[in-house]
Amino acid sequence: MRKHHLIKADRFNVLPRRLLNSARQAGLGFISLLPIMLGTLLLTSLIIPILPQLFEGGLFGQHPVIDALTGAGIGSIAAGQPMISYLLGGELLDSGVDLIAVTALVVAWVTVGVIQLPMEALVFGSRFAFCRNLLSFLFSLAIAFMISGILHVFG
Amino acid sequence: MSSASPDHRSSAERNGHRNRGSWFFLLSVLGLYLGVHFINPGYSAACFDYFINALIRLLPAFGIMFLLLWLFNLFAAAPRIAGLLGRYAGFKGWLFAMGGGILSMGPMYLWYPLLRDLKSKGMRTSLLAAFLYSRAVKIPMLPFMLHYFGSVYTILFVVHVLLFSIASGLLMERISSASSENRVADNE
Repeated sequence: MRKHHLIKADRFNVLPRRLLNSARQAGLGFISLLPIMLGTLLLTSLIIPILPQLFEGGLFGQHPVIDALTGAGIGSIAAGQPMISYLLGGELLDSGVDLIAVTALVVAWVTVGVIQLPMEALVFGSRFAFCRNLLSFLFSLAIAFMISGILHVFG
Repeated sequence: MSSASPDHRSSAERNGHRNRGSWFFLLSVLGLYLGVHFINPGYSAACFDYFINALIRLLPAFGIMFLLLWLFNLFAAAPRIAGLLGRYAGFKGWLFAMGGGILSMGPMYLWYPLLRDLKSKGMRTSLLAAFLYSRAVKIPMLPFMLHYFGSVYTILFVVHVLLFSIASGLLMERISSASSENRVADNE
């Protein structure tokens, strides 16, 4: 009887401990991400004010296809966490970059990895790595145009 | 978050290494600001103002992100994700591959060792490609996307990425099976 009570009490102890451990792990994960997030936001803040000059220079703000290709190209070369692409994409959108270019950048950022291509080829084979990255690049353009088209028609 | 990482090093070593890298990145950016400040103080001050305003706007998203990370640590463990991505999972395999991709944290190359192990144990090429593609959706980061792009865009984004991860998987499997058939034909 006493043993039964002890087991029951143990079960009650496990849940708060698990919640606390998860909160601790989440806290550690959050703290480890915080410098990257702050650094990205700082870096983005450093780039955003010169964006109008880049538009004048012709990086974005041309034909939608060229904008999408530019966005997907930047996203493919940039290697980083998805969070960075969301932050950068959001700030770019706020500063007037077209949604097609921003979407292509965000999707390509995570799905295409030009810098990681040699490593991916070593691990999974060069044919797999090359075809997957090429497909992902084309898909990032397709997704950008589809989402933009849907929003244009229904938005 | 750390529990979902496939790296085989000890978690303390991994977290320490990652933390050092993150802080080094932040320090480098601050150093860059300092450099810009010496060249053009007005510009660096304007950039810092922009940063403070953006940070204030993003504070609620940071709170939601922490909450989601907490829930992930509570329910999603790395061995569970790895166990469910097996060869004979069928429809469930697709769900777990895409779910695993969404839940996976950190850079893509951190996941290569686990994926290579799964592949060597018979994981389908389609599931591997779907896993890698669906990584574009990051649930803890969605509050940022909602903040910047709105709910309609976010839903469209998630749906499109998931549909295209299936397309990517199917096409990659077709490409790799075609290449292996060609190899067999060449050998014959």
